[in-house]
Amino acid sequence: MSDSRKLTYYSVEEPAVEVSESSNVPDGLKPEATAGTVDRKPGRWGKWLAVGVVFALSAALIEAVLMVLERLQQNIFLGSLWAVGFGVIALAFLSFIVREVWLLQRLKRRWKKQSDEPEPEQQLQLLQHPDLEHRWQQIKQPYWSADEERERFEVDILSRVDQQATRVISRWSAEAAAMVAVSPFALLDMLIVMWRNQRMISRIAELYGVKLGYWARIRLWRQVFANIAYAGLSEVAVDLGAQWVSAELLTRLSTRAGQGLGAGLLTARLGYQVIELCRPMPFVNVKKPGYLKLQKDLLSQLKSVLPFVYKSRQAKAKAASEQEVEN
Amino acid sequence: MSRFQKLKHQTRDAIHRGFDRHIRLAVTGLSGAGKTALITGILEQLLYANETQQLPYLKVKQQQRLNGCRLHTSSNWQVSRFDYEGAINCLTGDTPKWPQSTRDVSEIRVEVKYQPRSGLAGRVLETRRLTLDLIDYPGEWLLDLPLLQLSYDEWSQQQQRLLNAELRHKLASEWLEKVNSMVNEASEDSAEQQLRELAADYRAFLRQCRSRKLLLLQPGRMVLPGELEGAPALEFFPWPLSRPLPDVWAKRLQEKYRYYQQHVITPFYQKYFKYFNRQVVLVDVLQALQNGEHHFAELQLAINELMKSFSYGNNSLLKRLFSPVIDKVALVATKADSIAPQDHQKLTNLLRLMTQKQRQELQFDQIPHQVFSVAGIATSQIKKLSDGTTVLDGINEQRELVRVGAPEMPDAIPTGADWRRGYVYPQFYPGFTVQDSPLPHIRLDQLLEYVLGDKLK
Repeated sequence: MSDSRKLTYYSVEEPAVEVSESSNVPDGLKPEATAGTVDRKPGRWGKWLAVGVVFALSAALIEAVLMVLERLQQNIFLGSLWAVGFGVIALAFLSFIVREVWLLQRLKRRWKKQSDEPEPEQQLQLLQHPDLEHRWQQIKQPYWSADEERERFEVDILSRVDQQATRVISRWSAEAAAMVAVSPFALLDMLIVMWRNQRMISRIAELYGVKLGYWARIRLWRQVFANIAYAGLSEVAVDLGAQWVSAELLTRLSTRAGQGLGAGLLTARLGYQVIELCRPMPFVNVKKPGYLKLQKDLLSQLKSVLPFVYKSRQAKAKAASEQEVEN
Repeated sequence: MSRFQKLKHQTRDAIHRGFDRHIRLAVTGLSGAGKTALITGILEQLLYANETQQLPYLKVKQQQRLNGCRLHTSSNWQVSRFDYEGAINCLTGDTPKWPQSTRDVSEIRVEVKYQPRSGLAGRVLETRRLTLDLIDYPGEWLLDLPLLQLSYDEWSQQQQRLLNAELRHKLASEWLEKVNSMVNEASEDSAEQQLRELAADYRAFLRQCRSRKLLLLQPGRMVLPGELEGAPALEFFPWPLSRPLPDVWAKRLQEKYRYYQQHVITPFYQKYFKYFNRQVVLVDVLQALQNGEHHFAELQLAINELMKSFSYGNNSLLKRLFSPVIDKVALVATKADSIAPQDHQKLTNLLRLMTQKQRQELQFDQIPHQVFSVAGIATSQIKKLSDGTTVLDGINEQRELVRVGAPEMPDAIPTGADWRRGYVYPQFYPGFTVQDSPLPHIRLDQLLEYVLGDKLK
């Protein structure tokens, strides 16, 4: 212990890499580590639903087999055609399931990463934004500690993706609001909301560099619904309270407009949940995107759409009454 | 300067102070702590702020609201201007070297023009200005400030305690003996002569201490006299012995001490130190670690003494105009470029431990403060060998490129065995060319954001 400390000198010729350029960070993924946080216990209804689906599926399968057998007995040619048809469908279904499982695994890993120490370099590759990668190379300082790096990555890089995602949300929810406000019947409303929401989820996921398969999407939806139901109840109450107070202004517009606004807000809320799920790290140094600006967007969108609709309706009604008069 | 112009300047300054648009930054540090390098670094980063990607933490720049910064004439025309260009020439010349250690007071003013975003100004004004004054001065003189609060006897007692320490006692032994023998012959007639002689010897002792890298050397003007070279004002010394001071000497020594307080320290304090409203305390922790336990303890003591001589508080409008106080403090460990980046946290922690007492006091008074590890001008490059060892590439005193393994950093304030093994840190020299502008730095952006950020919103 008594030896005094000395500086160790190295040869300058020895190859050494600048720290800022090192991008081959070891892959620190341990998939089993946080699997527990991802799997949520299926609720009572989920279990019954699963049982029902299994019964229905097995019934359909048995029926299909019986049918094919029956056809085979009637006509060997028709029967084999049916068999081939079912076989192809089964194969497609199987490959679909395999693909979904793979995608689901990827999504799981992303979720895992969110709770893990995120490595900016790896995440940059996932984001697939060459401009942001360039920007990161420009601002990155070799002396930063892991914390500083993460902070800068969030503030300088991720916040830009967040901005894009917020823009997507505001556009798609405004569209959904307008469409729902215009659409005449309920089934179409539901279909529109479903369609727009699905598209929005995949757009946002694309921005963050996660590709979602069907099952992964279902999973995300479930997660979203679960989130809204479990954690977001208070948030919903507060937000909606505020929004409804200012929505008072809208009473001049028809109930349809209110319905549209509601659909838009729900879509937007869904969008924010998707951002939180797709984002590789939680919001720490950047403010969570909020509803304030969004509401303005929605209102202006509705304002521009609705008068037009009413005018056309009024014109139609007028034309009809004129026709009546003529008759 | 004509009287009218002077009045104009002073009025403008007062208005700026009133509106809180004027920051006088106290860069406080003992000699060798890197004040000049830090000031040069700050100027360099501010002046080139819009041409570099090196300042991600400076919000005003990151939000693209910074119009620019420029050097401005200071309203105090009696003080020489900080030789920024000279310092840069030194660093980027044909044979780059560190700027010479500061021998006199100098001041420089930077004007920051930006687009305000928050508050009333954000709605009304297109652009806004912030004036930043930076003052460079010899660190030796700074240690005079604590003397303002001490009487001659108190000071003597403090110095006696210091002299009990091993190294100092050894260095002072000759002088002490001389004092001891001369005090027996103290008389009215020869007193003047005797005291002059002893003061000269005391000064020699202080210089010896300095060459042994001791820090708490008072009075500072004896180490670096400036314009007071050979002046009778410096003919005094603390009473080092436990036996009573003879009256004939006491009268003269106390008189000189009081004169020194009133006519040397007070003007210095009034002129430069009174109007500070932000402070950066620079501490060269690495140097102290390298110099050993004794120096480390002395550094701690010196910081403690120093921070006592500044007034901290919150600035109201009246206070801003007439007697501003320091309302934000950054404690900075300098020369972070001599250690590996993963050790920066340790360096910060070490400074945090060293200044625990001061931080508690600031905390109690609710003065915002934060600890940083910084290099005003970074002279090393961090690299990794193929086996994962972190190395620092830099230029040594002989202007050769050397590669040093990252030196060891203690996790906490070292104890016995650690001190015996000692610590050693590489000393790098600048090797820049004119093309390197703006010069690299470590964490200056965070420091600037902390010190200026709230005024640039």
